[in-house]
Amino acid sequence: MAYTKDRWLAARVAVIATCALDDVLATDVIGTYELETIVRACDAFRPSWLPKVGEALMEQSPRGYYAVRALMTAGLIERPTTPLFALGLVTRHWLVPNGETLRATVARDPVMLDLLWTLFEVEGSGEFSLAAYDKYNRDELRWEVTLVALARDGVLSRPRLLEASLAALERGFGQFRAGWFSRFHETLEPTVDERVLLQERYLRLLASPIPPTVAMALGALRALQKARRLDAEAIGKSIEPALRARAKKTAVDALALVRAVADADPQDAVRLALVALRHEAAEVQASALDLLETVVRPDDVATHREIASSADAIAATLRPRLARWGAAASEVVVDTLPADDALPVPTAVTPISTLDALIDRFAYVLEHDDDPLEIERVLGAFGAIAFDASDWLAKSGPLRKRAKALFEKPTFESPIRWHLARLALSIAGPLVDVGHPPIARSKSVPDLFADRIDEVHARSERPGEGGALSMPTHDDFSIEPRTLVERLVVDDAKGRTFARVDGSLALLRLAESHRAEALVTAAGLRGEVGRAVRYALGGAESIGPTAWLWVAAGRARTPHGDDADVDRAHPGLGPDAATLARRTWQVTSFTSGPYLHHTLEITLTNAAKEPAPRTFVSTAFVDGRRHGLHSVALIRWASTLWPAGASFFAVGTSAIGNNLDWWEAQWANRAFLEPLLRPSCRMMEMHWLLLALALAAKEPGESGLATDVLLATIADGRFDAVALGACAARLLGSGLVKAARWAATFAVAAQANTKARAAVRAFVEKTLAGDPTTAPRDVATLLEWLVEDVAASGERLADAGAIAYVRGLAGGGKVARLRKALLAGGG
Amino acid sequence: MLQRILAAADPVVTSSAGYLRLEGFSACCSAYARVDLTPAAYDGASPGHGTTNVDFGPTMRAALAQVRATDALKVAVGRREVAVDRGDGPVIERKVALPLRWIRGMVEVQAYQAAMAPKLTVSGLEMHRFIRALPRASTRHHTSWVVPSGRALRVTQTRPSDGVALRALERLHVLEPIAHAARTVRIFQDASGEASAFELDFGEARFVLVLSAEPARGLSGEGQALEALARADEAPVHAARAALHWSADLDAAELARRLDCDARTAADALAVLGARGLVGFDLSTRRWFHRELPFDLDSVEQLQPRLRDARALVAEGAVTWIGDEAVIRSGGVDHRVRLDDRDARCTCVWFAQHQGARGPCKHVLAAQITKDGT
Repeated sequence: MAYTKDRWLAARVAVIATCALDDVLATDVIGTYELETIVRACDAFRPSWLPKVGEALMEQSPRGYYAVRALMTAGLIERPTTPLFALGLVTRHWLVPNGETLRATVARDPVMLDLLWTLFEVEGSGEFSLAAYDKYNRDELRWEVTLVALARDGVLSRPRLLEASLAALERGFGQFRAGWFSRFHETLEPTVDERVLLQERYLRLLASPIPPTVAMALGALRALQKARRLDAEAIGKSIEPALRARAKKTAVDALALVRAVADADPQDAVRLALVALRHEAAEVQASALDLLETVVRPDDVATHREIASSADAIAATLRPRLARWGAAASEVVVDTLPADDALPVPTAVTPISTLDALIDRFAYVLEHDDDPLEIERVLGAFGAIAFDASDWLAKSGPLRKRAKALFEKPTFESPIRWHLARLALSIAGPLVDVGHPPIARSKSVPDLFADRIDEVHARSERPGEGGALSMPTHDDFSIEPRTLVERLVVDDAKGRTFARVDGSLALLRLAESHRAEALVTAAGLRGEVGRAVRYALGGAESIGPTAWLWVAAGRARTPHGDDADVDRAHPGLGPDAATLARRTWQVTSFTSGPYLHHTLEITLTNAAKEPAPRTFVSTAFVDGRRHGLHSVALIRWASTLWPAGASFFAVGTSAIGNNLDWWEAQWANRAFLEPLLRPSCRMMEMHWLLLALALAAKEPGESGLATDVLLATIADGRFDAVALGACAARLLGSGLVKAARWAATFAVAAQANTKARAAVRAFVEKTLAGDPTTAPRDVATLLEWLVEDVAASGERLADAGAIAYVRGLAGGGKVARLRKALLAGGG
Repeated sequence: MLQRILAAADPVVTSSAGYLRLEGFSACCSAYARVDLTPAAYDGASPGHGTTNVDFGPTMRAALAQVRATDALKVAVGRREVAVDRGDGPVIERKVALPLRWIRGMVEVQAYQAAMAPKLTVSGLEMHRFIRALPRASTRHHTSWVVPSGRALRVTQTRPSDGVALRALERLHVLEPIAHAARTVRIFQDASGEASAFELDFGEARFVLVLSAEPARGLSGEGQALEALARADEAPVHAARAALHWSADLDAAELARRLDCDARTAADALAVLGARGLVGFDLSTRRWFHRELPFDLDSVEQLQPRLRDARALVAEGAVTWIGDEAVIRSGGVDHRVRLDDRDARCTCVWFAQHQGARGPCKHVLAAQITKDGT
């Protein structure tokens, strides 16, 4: 039966006539469309639920207001008692007839006039609140404008509006919705006499958890203080929460109020100044000390002692001011940073040795495909462990059941999981097909993983004869060279094929240690593979014809430079094959409307004319594209392909660097930073650039992990203040990064231990380089940290470049003050 | 939504041994909070003992929000109501029914607390500054660790040796208004690093905040009490219940001595009583305290679907022991369970996903029930 408006309306009427209230509400038949007919239906059928429908509609949604009003007007229901009824007033503006103002509509509607007071008692949610409504409507439909006009015209009581708006702020509404009431209150422009009557409420609001509410109350009290109408005693009882406000300005303003009434009760002023002295902001602490210096009596020994003991809680720059309170030298300079962190050491990976453990771990990685080490352990176990097919089938029932479910529902985000499921279904049988017809695989990471799974399946067909060559021996995904040679010797004896992905990974993961010893034991390895392995280990060999094999061997042999021999034998393969990829970077800016955008551009300077073949593993990221890296699982596994390669980090640098302000929620990007934690990760320009950028990331996970990386490099000796500072200095004037975020992360890193503090200090000094005229406005945040560190450590500004940079900084105010402080200490 | 949040913001109030305790959950059930007022924290008498739960509606919340540090506050707790009076007339709230999720969370959180150990201690001032420095943005997408940094705390994103794991650090902002006043703040965590607790010691009063591993995981579904319930031997549980007497100082060793049983039996009995809402765990004293959540004790197992399913598997005869391995026919496949004193492993998806961190799966429970012959 076709849908028509008449049929739909008839169905709604039928529901009203025959159904229970729950069904009426669930089917939403009352609504607003054709309301007149619906009201007539209610009148005609008088359903038993009619007396309750008003409350029920309003409980369901404020949109029920229109229907409720229509039913009330028809005399069918009483006015609902629920306060939610009032939220109907902040539904869509079509409650106002066309061409009319909200003021006119309200003024002639006694129900609305009465109901609007309830709006000061209910918070609402989502789109149904005064704040949300007014934000998206023009002036003649806004409640703020309407209520002010009604008060001005005497329709509404102005004192009641003033009182009600403050009462609403005491109800614990959320910040966005509370903001409407504080703005409305001030829009009414209370006179001093009116504020005097409201003084008790202002005082109570100083304890509000909503910062703008506290600021508004503080402003009102300051107005009273200026008019000499402030109750000084009441201030003492109520001001304390404002002294602890997160906003520095609020705390400083509150202190000003304390100072203004200090004469009335100096002892209480001392108590309150001591509260402010424990504020985390140096600016507030300084104001507190200013006040203490004027109100503490010379003979008040207890207070002197208390102030002196605050040394460890206040900024280093202020500690010298404690001397006048009798603070000992040891109290004045307090630095309790802990000892250095212990050096992390790569841990040996234990291979899986039993079928039960293999099934257990396989089940685990199916659910945790973001754990590449466990994935490698599982893949490495096939072929290594001897088991019968019947044993596998008997014990792996739950695993295969789960794998079947996952295999049948492939997802874009989880190709690793899907291929693992494919492997689980293929063990002890033929390789499960990947589609009809099979799609040609690309050089993307998911397809590389698919190739690897195919190879693992081939190995699994000869259980007990040896596992994957590429299984890492350590948790930094490196392979101890002697172990690789042992594996190859076994494979050689069994006549096993050196598979492309497995073999390439084995070579690219070779650790740099013990290569000479491994080269000796590799002497007996046969054929082109044997030669390539010895070449990778540093031996003198003639280059063979299999390009992918020699590219992997060359990259393993010379991970941070060009391999001339391989390049001669296989010329023109492009970067990250025989030669190393080389890049430059720059930040470009462009405007779009009122906005200025900055983009990080990374350019490959030695790109080849043709893209590298997909058979090369080391070139997976050379073009700087993500190639399917959109999940943590894929990024983590991709980072293990060639741990020494820098191209992977170039992809991460571009991804994080062009999303510093979190334009897009790319939660997986932080995984690009994780490999930097490995002590074996050699830091080069692209690594430092990634770190410098991530330290300024808005997303706490990225900046927090970057802080950990910074501390890790400091702890294990990889830290290079010059290299990191060079990147940071170029970024500082580029507009891409916010110096304030750097200052915050540097402060966290510097408090970790004494070594970290010194390293961060050196880094910050190197960052202050280049042209000071291009310094961002928030460079003051870096200078502030530097000034505090100079005071805490007693070490003057030492870097000549930094001194010149600071000296060249233009501007007055805070920058001038900080410049003076720094140059007085170090220049 | 807001109405539901407010409805779920109602505390359970217990008066026993002079202590007044107020317990409650966040709307998502991922945060549990308890205020313990010692006898020194208030003037007046606490003549009775008992537990009640009341609706803290907008009026009560507004009244409490206006209390200043220097104000006197009268509090009266009865079996059916709680009243507070700031001097401008009492605000009274009546007893209401507890939400089901709360009840489940209330029993789970006791088991979690009992398994926690202190990891870090800082001053209230340092805690205050640490919270202030936390990002306002959500951190629920990855695990962070709170670690010591000098005399202060900092957050790290890499697993440390001595940290406290946590997701959604923004949940700690709830402590911001009170942390500064604490003498000390102790941070606890269970051995598996799933739940954490923050105990603020004000001398005469304490505030405890227990957080689940992440906001999406309400404490109500953590399954920490399941093993004790599966193992439960009713005789010592009944004996332990008879020994409660509204005490605020119950521990397994003392109970074992009084009941003449071994410490594990006594500990299990207390865990079962915790799972039945009859005792709560006080992290500060590491003792259990008697309080009776107002719900039907017979429904406890009905609140635990995994335990219910495990008993069904046992009843169906789905469990077969082959040596030290239990083979459990379930869902058309044979699951294999191995139990030992410290660990239990299963081949099911639940175990693969959570590795035992969210309590045992139904197969492990079924194996435990049949192994113990319960």
